Amino acid sequence: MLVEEIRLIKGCKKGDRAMQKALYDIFAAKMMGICLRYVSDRESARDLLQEGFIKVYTNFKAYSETGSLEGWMRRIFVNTALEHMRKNDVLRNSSELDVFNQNAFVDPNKTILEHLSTNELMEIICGLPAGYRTVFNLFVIEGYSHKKIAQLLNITEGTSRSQYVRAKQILQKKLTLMDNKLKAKVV
Amino acid sequence: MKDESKNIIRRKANDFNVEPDVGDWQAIEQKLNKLSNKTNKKRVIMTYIVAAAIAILLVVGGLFWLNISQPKQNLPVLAQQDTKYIEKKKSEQKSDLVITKNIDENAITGLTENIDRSMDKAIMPDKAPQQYNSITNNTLKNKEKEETKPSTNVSEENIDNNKQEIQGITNNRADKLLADNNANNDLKEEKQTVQNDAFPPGHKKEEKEPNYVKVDVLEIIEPLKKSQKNDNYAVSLLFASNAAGSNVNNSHASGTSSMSYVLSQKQYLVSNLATSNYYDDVNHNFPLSFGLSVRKNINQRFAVETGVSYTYLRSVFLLGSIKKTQDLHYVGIPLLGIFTIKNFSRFSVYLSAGAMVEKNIAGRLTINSLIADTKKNKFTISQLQWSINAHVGLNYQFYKGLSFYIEPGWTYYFDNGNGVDNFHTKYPSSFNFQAGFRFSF
Repeated sequence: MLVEEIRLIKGCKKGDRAMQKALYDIFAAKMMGICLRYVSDRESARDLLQEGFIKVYTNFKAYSETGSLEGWMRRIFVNTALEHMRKNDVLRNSSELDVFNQNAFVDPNKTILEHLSTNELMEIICGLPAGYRTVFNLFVIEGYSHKKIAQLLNITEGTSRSQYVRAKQILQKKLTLMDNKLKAKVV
Repeated sequence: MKDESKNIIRRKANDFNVEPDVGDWQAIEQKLNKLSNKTNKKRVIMTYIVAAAIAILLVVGGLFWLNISQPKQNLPVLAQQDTKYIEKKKSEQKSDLVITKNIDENAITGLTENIDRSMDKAIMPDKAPQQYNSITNNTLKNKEKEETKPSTNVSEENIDNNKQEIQGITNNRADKLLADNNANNDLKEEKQTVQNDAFPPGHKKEEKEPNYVKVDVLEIIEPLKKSQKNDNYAVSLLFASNAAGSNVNNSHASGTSSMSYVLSQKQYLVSNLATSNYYDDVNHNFPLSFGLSVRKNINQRFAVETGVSYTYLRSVFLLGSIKKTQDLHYVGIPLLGIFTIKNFSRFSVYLSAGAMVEKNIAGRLTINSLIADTKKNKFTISQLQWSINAHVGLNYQFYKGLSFYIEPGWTYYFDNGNGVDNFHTKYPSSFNFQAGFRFSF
């Protein structure tokens, strides 16, 4: 751990406002990106950003410095986003589990994914319905297992899997459309 | 999705940085300032609470000190009153005896002298012998009580030798003799008695027997002992909770454990971040207790108390879209030592200290989510919950045998290692407040 990082952590634990501002300057853009992945509109993302940083500062003493600071902060922001969705009844609109034949869906094309810019890919993800988007974010990007997601969202593992498969289906469609557009442009 | 595709998406998501608006930091700073002010207010309130607690301790300590320095005043009020009564009667008794002695000595001496003088004068009124005999008999009776034999002997001798001359003593002379005794007001009463004795039998004033004769210390103390015996036991109904505020709110982290939703912060931080949970918000409601206890008085100061108590704990954990409500029900057995510091007419102040063991009899975890049905899981905690406590008690007897009491105090709950988060694990040391009714029999 760098000396400056240690100083930053100690300062934040003491509640030093200058150190808190420094922490904000370092991580605000990244955390804003996380917030935007979970909520579709920017205003809600701003609220989450502010709320998340307040939680980080007020709970900083709980950070034991054994894990990465960024990882610890990410978790706080993800959970803040989940709480926001619960409060705003976002997840209720998610469809329940249907019987899926998971093999009927093909994974998104790797080449297409590579060609997409970060913003384009995030735009597609943010365009997913809330329930699918949440499970997709938690499973693919945060690395949670379906069991853990089921526990977090109070759903069954099967529901989590089905939401993920649906998310993949929509993502695949959008990627294919985008790929076709790109090919059409090239031709 | 294949790992390669996942990695691409993950990498791009991690690179997805969006600059926040300029006003976001100002908004955060304002919220932090508000929180800081709230914290300061809480500190001020806590300072007042601590100051009040210290003041109570000083008052109680002062009473305790006074109690030690004046042990006689520590008797129950009834005993105090009766003791004062006994002392008063004793002093009256002494006073009466002293007066009697004074009357006897002075009157008899005076009488003897005057009798000697009267021999020369040889005055013999008609009623004089009867009056003199009355005075002499009365005086002699008192003399016998005090066993002032020398004076009495002199008097008797003089009487025998000068019986004839005694008849010359008149009423006025008897009055003068008594007035010359320099007695106090009580002496005047005695004089009146003497005068009454001089009345004819039919008109004799009924004399009351002195009260002190009736005062029997045992008669007073025995009922007191019986009364204390009767109050040896007390049954209490109590209600208890922590002293201030409504809910305790905190955020903390947890991870997998015997109960998957709870784990201490340290455990969380060393555990795998990807598999552990972070609670966004945790509310531990203040515990509520109800109980029935029995107190046995060992002596006037010391007593032991035990009984049974029921405690209800509720905690609410907010985790993303999930709201988990944890209800815990405990049954406990306390064992306390009681020391009475001071007894007033209706109030008594006491200290109590002891321990309690509690057993979880039921636990329920209700999981509410907006995207799934509500789940209810029942469980019990096998480990016993031990605690120690100390209270200052104020008892007010509002009816015979019935009293109301309040007991502010402190309790410390030991970690029993069950890993279930609740108010006691979050705040093992806490101030609390007990109140209830006590029935003594």
